[in-house]
Amino acid sequence: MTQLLLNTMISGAVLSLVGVAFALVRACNGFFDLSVAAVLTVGAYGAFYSCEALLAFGLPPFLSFLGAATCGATLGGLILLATNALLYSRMRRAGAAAGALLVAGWACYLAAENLLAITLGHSLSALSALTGDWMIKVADKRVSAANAAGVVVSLCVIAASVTLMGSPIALALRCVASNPLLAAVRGIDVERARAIVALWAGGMAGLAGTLLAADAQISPRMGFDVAVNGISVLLVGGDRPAIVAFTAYGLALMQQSITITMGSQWQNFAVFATLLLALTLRGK
Amino acid sequence: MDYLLELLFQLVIYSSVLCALDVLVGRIGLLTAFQGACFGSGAYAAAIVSIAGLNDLVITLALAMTAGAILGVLLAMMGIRVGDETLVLASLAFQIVWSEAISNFAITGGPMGLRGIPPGEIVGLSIASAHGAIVVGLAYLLLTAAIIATVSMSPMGRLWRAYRESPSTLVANGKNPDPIKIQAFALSASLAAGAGCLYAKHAGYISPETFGLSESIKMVTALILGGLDSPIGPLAGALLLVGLPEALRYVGLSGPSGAGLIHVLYGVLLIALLVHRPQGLWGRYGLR
Repeated sequence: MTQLLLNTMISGAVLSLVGVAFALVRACNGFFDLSVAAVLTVGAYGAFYSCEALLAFGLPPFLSFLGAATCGATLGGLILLATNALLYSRMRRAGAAAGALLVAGWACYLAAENLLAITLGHSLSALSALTGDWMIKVADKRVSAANAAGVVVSLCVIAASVTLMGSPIALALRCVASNPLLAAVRGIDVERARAIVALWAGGMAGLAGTLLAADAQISPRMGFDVAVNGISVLLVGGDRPAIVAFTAYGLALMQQSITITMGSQWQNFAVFATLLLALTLRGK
Repeated sequence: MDYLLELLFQLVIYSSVLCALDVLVGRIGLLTAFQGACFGSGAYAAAIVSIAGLNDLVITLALAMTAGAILGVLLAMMGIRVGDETLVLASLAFQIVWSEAISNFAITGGPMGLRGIPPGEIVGLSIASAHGAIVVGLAYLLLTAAIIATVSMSPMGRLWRAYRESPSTLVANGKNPDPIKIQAFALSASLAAGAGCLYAKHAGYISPETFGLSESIKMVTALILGGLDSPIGPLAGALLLVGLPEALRYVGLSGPSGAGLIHVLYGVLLIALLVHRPQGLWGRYGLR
């Protein structure tokens, strides 16, 4: 039971980061940005190489891991910011709506994932292979310190996002999503609001990538699987980051329970069947 | 020669699948990503009844199309509940559930798929050869195109376009969009399932990878690249889907790096088209 809860905390942290990142982008930009999946993968790769460099520089493993997480988050934020500035803004100016932006996000992911696979190879080892397995004890169970640190950092980031979306800034962001022209007339700098959200959400996705890479193999495909789960969290949880984060932990608990009771091959089936059922019953 | 015939068969089959997908994405404007499941449900239905002993192609095709239509109606019913914006993600989830189900249930052969599917027969004549399969495939493509063209020119087709241009105006004019969507989903899914039936009967072996999520996404990408709401668009998309990997193989880029390069090219082409030519190469309607 304790192990189940610990595993839920770790995978829930990753899922909630991705879910909240999707929710923020959707709240401000009005579409599901699938390029978040690529950002997550790039964040994981960035964290791996920066961790390697920091260890070579002589930093202790724990500090190297925190440095890698910072690097992954920064890289993720900058990439989503660049995507927003170079692609989405341009498409919006040309009159593109949510459907076209969603497909553009998907195209970004497709190109980035395969570019990573071609240039950096198909899989790298987990960060724990670089930093070593240093463990701490939680309720008589041994937990990787990287995972524990990751859970704490992700909870802080989610709390910050929830605070942000509960503040008057959230109203401005929603105005930008529902009617950018009217928002601009009311004095809201639309492009700046979108850029800030892209930076923050990209940072969250990059951080999620680092957490995922802490003790799992890094591969170009890793972003998509998590992103699909992140979208399910968003679909069930709605637009509010606090509820999205709560749903993410619920989904993580469900995944872990199914893995234990039915086997990992039924995990996706059960999760997505539940999602479909929830969507059908709950509607919009 | 066999290789070229095989490519031609794939081109014909994928053209039918993309024509069917164009009903939803191009003509009614509902972006979905579950075409692999529709294609696959036809293939699996045909495979199961053929292995059980039913070899008549027409009856198998009818059964496969019914299976596809049921799948389409199921997603449409759910799509009505979730709204158009979320539909693409709901269809993605639907595709995942379908893929996981056929990968885990014994009746569909699990991850190993189904082997030994006998070729179809029409009035007692076997169509085991590649030539026969291509002729049947071409006939099916023409039938698909004719059905879609006929419906598009009918009052139903005008309702599809009206919904695409402005759902709220359609409702304001006293039309209920729900049956329109259900019919479009059923038609699209059943036509794709029919193509799946022909594919299974020709290939003799099917497995979940052929109909998975990545295949669905590839089909949507190819259709958007080829062009929406146009008779040429799906054919151009199918040519890209089947021809691009072969062209890269021809210039010596095969294996994992070649496959990766194809996806990079798809991604870059898609971004370029969405920015500069949202209606795709030969389309009449730009994705919104």
